[in-house]
Amino acid sequence: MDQEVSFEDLYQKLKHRVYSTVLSYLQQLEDAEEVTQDVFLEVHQKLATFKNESSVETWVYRIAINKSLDFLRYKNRKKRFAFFTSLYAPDSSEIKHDISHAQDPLQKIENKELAAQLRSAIDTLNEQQKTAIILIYVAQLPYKDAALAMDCSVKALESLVMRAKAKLKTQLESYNEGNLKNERQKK
Amino acid sequence: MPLHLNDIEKGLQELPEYRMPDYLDQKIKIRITQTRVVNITKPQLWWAAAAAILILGLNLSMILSNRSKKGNEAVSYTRSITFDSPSLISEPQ
Repeated sequence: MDQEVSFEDLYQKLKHRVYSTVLSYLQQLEDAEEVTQDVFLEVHQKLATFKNESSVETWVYRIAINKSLDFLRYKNRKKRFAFFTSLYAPDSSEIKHDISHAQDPLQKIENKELAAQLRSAIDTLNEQQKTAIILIYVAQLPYKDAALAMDCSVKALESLVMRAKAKLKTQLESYNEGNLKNERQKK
Repeated sequence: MPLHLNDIEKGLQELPEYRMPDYLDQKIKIRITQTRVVNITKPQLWWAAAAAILILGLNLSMILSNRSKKGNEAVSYTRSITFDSPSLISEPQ
């Protein structure tokens, strides 16, 4: 009974942030929904056996990250396989869903376009940098907890975040340059 | 205009949070309720197995004790025929 109550509390507390974390990772609504369901089912099943080696929230995010990564790897394997099948059926390319219509009432950022650019730039980061940025800025975990979830030291995480930010900066600058060129061409 | 790392930091901090849609919330709750009904935890499984073994053991011991009782009765009856009764053809009353 105690487990059920704590699961309810945990679920209510984390449902939006876990969904947001998974969606930021996968960038596709349907995939994020599937993975979020799996995350909470696993949390429900294993909460009784959870050892207090880290905070329960860190543990939940670790599950969310692992499930997202597994899903991405599975999709990449599928894509590689699809490449061969596409040789025979060239129109079977995958449709990427637009997540811009995902519910977003906590819209604080003034420039929606910048947020969209930032999200797609995050998607270009490598696995480790992406995880670091998502855990710190989307899941809003403190560095200590994020480092625990990623199984690395706080210092290593800090340097990962620094490198990720530098890469994001370069990416956004190249977007802006591209936009400027387009505007000049239009004029 | 060149970007600074501070702009990136600000942009990341202000990234909007996606809200879980209601239908997904309902789906998760339903799936969890379903697993609650079906889910048998490991300790429960062990208890069920132990209880089943106990019941089987009790049944087996009762069957065996009944058999041995009947066996003893049969032996004593044969003995009574062999040593006590003058006539081997006569049926027991």
